[in-house]
Parts: sequence; structure tokens; C-alpha cells
Amino acid sequence: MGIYLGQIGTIELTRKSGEGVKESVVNPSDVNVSRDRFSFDFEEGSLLTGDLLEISTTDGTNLDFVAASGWPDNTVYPSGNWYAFIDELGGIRLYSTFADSLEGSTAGLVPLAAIARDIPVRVVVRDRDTRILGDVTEYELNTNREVVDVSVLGDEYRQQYSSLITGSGRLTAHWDYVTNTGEESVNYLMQLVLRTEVGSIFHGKFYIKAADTTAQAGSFGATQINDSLWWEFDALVTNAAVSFAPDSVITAAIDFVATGPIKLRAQTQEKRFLLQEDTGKLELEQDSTSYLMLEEPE
Amino acid sequence: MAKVYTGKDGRLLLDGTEQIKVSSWTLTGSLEMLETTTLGESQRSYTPGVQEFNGSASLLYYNDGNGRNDAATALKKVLRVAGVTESDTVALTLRLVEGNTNHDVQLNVYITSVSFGASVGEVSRADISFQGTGALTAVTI
Repeated sequence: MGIYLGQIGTIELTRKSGEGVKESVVNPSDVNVSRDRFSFDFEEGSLLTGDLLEISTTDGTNLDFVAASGWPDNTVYPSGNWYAFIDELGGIRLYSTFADSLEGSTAGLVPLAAIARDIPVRVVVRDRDTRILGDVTEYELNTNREVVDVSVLGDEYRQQYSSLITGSGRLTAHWDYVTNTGEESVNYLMQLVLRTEVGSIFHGKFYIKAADTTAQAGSFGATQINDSLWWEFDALVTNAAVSFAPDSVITAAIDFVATGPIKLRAQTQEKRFLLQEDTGKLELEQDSTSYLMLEEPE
Repeated sequence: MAKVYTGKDGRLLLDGTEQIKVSSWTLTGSLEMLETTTLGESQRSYTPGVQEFNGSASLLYYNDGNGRNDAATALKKVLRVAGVTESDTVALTLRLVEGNTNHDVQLNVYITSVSFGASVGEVSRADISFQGTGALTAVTI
């Protein structure tokens, strides 16, 4: 048996919107072409910097307020995906990459175009990119199966029937507000709990053992290094607390509950990738560090 | 020998058949009192009137291996296409068992109300209420 320490665990987080979509109207006066900035009516905090937004028109017309040069093939469509930078006034700037959207600068800024009509839009936070949650010091996850008492008259022992499964947990991290390309900061989860219109859901992978980690002691085979085991589920942030003390690092404690199925998954075989003819890996869109994988190893 | 009765000792029989998966039953008996106080008396006086018996029971909505579902049978006493007639009484026995001795209350009843449903995280149950008709047919409590 191997002896493992908590340092081999980690948390991966994927942004998504749960309860619904945001529908609104972009008016001509909402688009500031000189600053490539636009807005529409949404609750403050509903959209967060770094969110990958899928913006679609609801009347089937094109998203004319995004200039043609802002589209991959220079053609305007009724629907598109961009990363958002939300400024302090609720203005939205669109970017092609997550990293550029965090800066909110002119680098990588998607150009906008003036419009002469109202454009009804639907906005969804897409769940595509997975990032490590940074500075996590500890987490715990509890899975619980409810039971229903089905004891009846005449029984001498209680009989139980398995019912619903629930999950909940708590994570603690050093507080930081800067989100880097490869990592989310815990500040994002603190923002999430306050998000009203599209919910406070995120998709999490809570690793018991991440890849490239080893046991601290005991038996451990060389082939186990790349093994990884993790819980995977959608979760709702229910509580976010930040503690301040003069002699302590600022920490944030996030409580969450799982919604939907909770899976305990394992990757114990070597990863395989779909290769090009020149043996190069196929990069995933807008993330040069991720590649298209094959589902089943040989 | 001292004996405390619990749900473990309870049974419910309809028309002589012990019901499966009964989780509870209750029986209430009441006696209507008729006042016979007259002028000039200083204390109220009463004479017995008519008795009434009613109660309720709860059964799990459960199919045994042979397809028997006692809850469904009870539900059909009310949930039926044809109307209920005078002949639709059932012989109800409410029993507490002590070894080989049965402590019974037997009466003829109409099933007067039923309710059942499905809830997330709960077992489906059939809750029935009954109204006794006529005198008790046996009491061995």
C-alpha cells in the first residue's frame, strides 16, 4: 500500500452558466465603436471578466455590431463566441483569447461596428476551457446517499431503501484576484456566489491524485506516476467567506453543493492523442497547450 | 410477563388477509353523549348515544414478487370507475400480536378516502381513511 499526502490533489474548474441564459437588446447607442465597447441590460456581476460568451441574435439576423474583421473568416454570423472583459461601468469588450480578455487592453480586442437597429441577443456563458484553481490550501468533499425508512409493521429490524445522492464540500485558498492564463483565482468563486441571473454554477474536477505525482511512502510502481483519479461534477457556490487577521495570509473559504451526477473517475492508462500526418498534435481552439485526445488507448 | 407493544407487533387485515408493507394504522372510537339534564338539577347528566369508529392506515405502494400490491387493492376501493355501493364494505381487523395470542379489533368499514403520490426522495405510500359501519364484530384486546 502506498501512503499519499494531500499535495497530490488539485482542483480544475470550468466556467459555465447553469440556470439559464440572458436575453436583452443591443441598441445603436449601446455600441461605442471608437472604444470597441458595447453593453446591454444585465445585472451587475452576471457576466465576469474572462467568461467565454456565446452571443446569438434571437431574430436570426447577423450580429452586425461585431465588425467582420472580428470573425475568424471575416464574415458576420448570427452567433459567435468571444471572451469578455467587463469594465467597472458594465461595458463589455470582446477578445479572441482568454489571456487578452483578462487585461482588457487593446491587444487582441475584437473591433465593433456601428448599427442602425436594435439587435435582440441571447448570451450564454460557455463551458469549454478548464483551468487549475490556484493557491488552494485544502479541500474536502462529502458524498452522501440518503436512505428512506421502509420499515413496516411486524419488522424487527429497520429496513432502508437507497434514495438520492448528494455532495457538498468546502475549499480553502489563499486569496488572490489576478486570474492567470492557466489558473483561476479564488476571487472568481467569490464573484460567482453573487452572480444572480445565470447562476453560481461551475464544473469542477477535484483530484485525489493528479498526474505526475507519486506516493510519499510505501509501494508505488513507476507506471502509476501518470495515473489520476478525480471527482467530477457540477457545483453551486453556496457560501464564500474571507478572513482577515494581521498576522495571517488572507484566505477565502468556499462552500459548495453538487448538483447532478457525481462521478469518481480514474485515468490509469497512458494518454494518446490524435496526430496529424507530420505526427504533430492537433491543438484545441484558442488553447495551444491542449490537444485533441483519443478516447480509448490501444 | 410485562409486555410493551410497538409497531413490530402490529398487523392489519382486510377481509381476513394480512396486508403486506403496512407502516401504520390508527383507530379512533367515540361515543356520542346525550344530555339528560333537567330543570332543578345541579349537575349535568348524560346517557350514551351512538358509537362511531374510524381511523386511518398507511401502506407502502409495493409489489411483491408475485405482483401482489395491497396498497393498490385498497386504493381501488375508492379509485374506481363504478360507484361505491352498500356491498363495498370490507372486514377490517386491527391486530397486535403477542406470541400466539392476537389482540384484535374487528369491524366492517368503508374506505372513505385515499391518497397516494410520488415525491423526490420518498417512498410512495397509500394513505387510506376508513369509516366503521355498524357495531364492532369482535374485540379481543
